[in-house]
Amino acid sequence: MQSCEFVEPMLSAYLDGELAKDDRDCVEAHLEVCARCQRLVDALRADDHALASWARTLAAPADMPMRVLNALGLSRQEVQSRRLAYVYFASLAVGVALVLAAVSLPAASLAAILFHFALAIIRALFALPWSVHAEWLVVLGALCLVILVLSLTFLRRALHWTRSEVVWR
Amino acid sequence: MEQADLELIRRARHGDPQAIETIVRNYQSFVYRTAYGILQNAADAEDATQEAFIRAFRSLGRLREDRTFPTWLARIAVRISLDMVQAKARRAQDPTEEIHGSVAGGEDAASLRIDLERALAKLSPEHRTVIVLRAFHGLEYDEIAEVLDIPIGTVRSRLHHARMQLRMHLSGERGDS
Repeated sequence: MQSCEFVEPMLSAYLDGELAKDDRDCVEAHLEVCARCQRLVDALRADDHALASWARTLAAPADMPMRVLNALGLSRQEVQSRRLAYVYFASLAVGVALVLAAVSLPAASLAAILFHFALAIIRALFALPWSVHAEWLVVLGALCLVILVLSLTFLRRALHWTRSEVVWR
Repeated sequence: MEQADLELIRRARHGDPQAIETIVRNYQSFVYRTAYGILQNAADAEDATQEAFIRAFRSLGRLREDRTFPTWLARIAVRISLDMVQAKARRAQDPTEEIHGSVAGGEDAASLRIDLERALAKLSPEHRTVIVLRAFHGLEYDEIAEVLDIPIGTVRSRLHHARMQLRMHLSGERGDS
């Protein structure tokens, strides 16, 4: 029979079923007659069970998927704000394409006529307050412009808040 | 791995948030337990888990074989956790600081858990890692060798020494023979 010193280094692999048949037979033959090594095997097995039981009680935080998505910039808010940006840039591209088409195509002369027509209307609108001595219209227009700028600024901030907001599901 | 899991990885590679969310849900316990076993600290384990997933998804394009995803993820989690252990060692933090937190499951279970945590904390990070991969997750020797990138013979001897030292520390904690 092999000594305890010979068998002990194999006990861990024996527990895991990782020994070749010859080594396993050797260990089993030793364990049948050596109470000390048998106690050690039982204790090692109990340690493994205790560790496995303890591991099962360990749970990651429930919000881990959302944390990872946020860190990767893939949360719903991020995706929505990115989609909004895509729509904006797509609209911009379509607008630019339309302008270029209007200038380069034969129909550009029609666009030029419409432009001059619109310009004339705008000039007339600007000249109107002075012609009827109603400068208050200018003040009203300036006020509208200020309100427009303020509303656009707040809209931009609101979009920024939406993007940085963290919503836990 | 099943076909559905491979499909999830393929979609995650293209940045599909739903696929990423599902993968995190499927593997978060595995990664968190690995990190906790090595780090012995809940807050650090959470950070390591999050970092492991972020690193994995950012470099998913470099994963050649989708079937190896679990092993690859485990390798990332282990590497991050061991790096954090080294950083912690530099700060000389007490590894047993969280052991006296609230523990569910009665006084005996709590006492056993405290003993286990204390004994595990006394092992070297390398020994803790093999114990965690084997006892927590039941990985086979060849899988552990792949995760740690070491020969199977080294896994076998490292696991033997880790278990014997753990037993020695537990005997000291519990007064066993």
